[in-house]
Amino acid sequence: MESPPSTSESPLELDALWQEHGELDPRVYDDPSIHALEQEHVFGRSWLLLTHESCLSEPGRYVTTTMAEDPVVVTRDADGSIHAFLNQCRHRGVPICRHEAGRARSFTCSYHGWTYDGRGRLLTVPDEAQLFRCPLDRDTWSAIPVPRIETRHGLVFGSWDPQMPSLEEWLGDARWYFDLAFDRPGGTEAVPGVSRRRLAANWKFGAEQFTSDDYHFSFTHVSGNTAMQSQRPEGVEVPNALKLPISLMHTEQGHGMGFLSSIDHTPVVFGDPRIHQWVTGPRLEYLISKYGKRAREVFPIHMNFFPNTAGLWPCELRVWQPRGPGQMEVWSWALIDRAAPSEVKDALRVDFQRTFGASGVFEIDDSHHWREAQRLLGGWQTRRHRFNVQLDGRAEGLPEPELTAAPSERGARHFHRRWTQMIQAKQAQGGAR
Amino acid sequence: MSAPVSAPIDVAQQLRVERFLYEEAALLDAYRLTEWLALVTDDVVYRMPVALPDEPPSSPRSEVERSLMHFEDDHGGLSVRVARLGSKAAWSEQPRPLLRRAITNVRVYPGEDGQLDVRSNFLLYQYQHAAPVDLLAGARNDVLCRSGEGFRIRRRTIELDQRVLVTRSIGVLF
Repeated sequence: MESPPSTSESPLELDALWQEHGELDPRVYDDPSIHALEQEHVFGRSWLLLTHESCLSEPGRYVTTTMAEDPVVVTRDADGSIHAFLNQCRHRGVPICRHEAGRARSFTCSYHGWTYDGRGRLLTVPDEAQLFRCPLDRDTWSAIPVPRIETRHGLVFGSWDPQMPSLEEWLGDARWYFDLAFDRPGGTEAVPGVSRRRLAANWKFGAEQFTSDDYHFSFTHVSGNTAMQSQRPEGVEVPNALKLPISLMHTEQGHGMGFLSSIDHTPVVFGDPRIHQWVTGPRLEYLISKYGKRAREVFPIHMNFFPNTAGLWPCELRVWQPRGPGQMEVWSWALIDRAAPSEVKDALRVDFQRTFGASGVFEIDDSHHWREAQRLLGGWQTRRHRFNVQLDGRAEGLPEPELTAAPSERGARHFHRRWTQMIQAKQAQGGAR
Repeated sequence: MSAPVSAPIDVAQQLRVERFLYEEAALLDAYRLTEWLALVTDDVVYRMPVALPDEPPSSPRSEVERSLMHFEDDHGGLSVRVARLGSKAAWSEQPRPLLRRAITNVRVYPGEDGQLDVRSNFLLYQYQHAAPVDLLAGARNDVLCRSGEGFRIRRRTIELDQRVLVTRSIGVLF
């Protein structure tokens, strides 16, 4: 660990950042030395979302993205398999690929012309035989591969840690909920385009809110909710979105989800009746056949799978990409049920865009509060005093149940506990099993 | 869309269109949004597509129409936005940002059924807290229909010149 800055702040002791009775040191959101540890010990040892399979629709397709702040190229090879490698030329460190997406058999660095194949393997080096003393060893000088890739319901994940437990083990007790959120009859496709926006706030503000924060809804979203209520079309029922019967799932691995405890409540969420018919009809029949009758009692609304893969009703997949301690990029895809009628696909997309898209009437006020919290952290006093994460707290030492009624911050406490364990390079309790 | 620069120009119509766009911009800057909403037709289509990767499009036009959008609103969608922006609890607009936009490069072309296809550029400056300068540039492709002595907006497609959005907010109207 680097030395803490010489101010009168209390020294940066990693194991004191999170305190079990629900107090959080604000420096987790903006300290550069914590950010550096986080990149290595949290993002370096997690499953990170790379893309959706439908963005790699055929062999030769690629996309570029980042794993935390490390740029990677994600490709589909001739045999259909998915690969990823660090987007940095081994010669002088220039990006190997400068495009957001496309189709290519090989990638040539524009600086000196080193060329890599679709798996990142070094193919050719200009004038190699004449200019280098011996042929360059391909095992040593190929692009750095992402050693682990796994796909689940179309979501493509990668990890830098060769020793990672499988994605299924990583999801642990949250796996069933993850499946319910992303498994669809006929699979899913991403609407063309990725919404990306820079936000002057640490990524954890978003991740933690999506894990377990229903508490903010009735204050933060009052303008969006009131506007939707007052402008509802004649004869369309739009019950109050602030009073949804939400339950929370949270696990010791730091994953969390808020869900409606009855599928019958779906029309209350910004409801287009065509969406309601689809999700309570063909989609629900499919989910019950695979996941049992309880699928009727779990309708996912908001979720975060530790550390930074998030999802949101009606159809959003999102990833919180850190960009330095005080900035993030929010990347969003609209994931549409392939088997849905085209008017349902349109309704899902439009609903997402108007509510939680970059300009959405709810999203705007969430982003605002994360930015405002971050803005204050340049101070001396504002970094000194701990934040309260005690809502629905239980006495010390009692095991926290997996499910609670909202609002509750148990999921946020799991999130911060797991994160604190990881930046200390400790194996999180209940992590790999 | 373009026309030869030698094409004859209807000066009076050009000035009428420019005046309409300038008055409209003044309403947006001043958050006089209920008045602004009266300038769009009931069947308005208001869109801002997400920039797609800069590869040659391989998908047919109909699919591109269904790409992700930052805005994809009809009149009802715009009404919700106007109602929200008018609320004292629209926290992102508290304190109310200073907005100032310049509408330029106005080009007017004949459209279908006597409507006008109008292209313009914009620069939108936003200021809320002392922060890096927040300047958005882009183009608008409008379909205007005549309404009495003035016009109404029937279709607006906004092309924002950012791929990763770097701005305080795109929760305002363009």
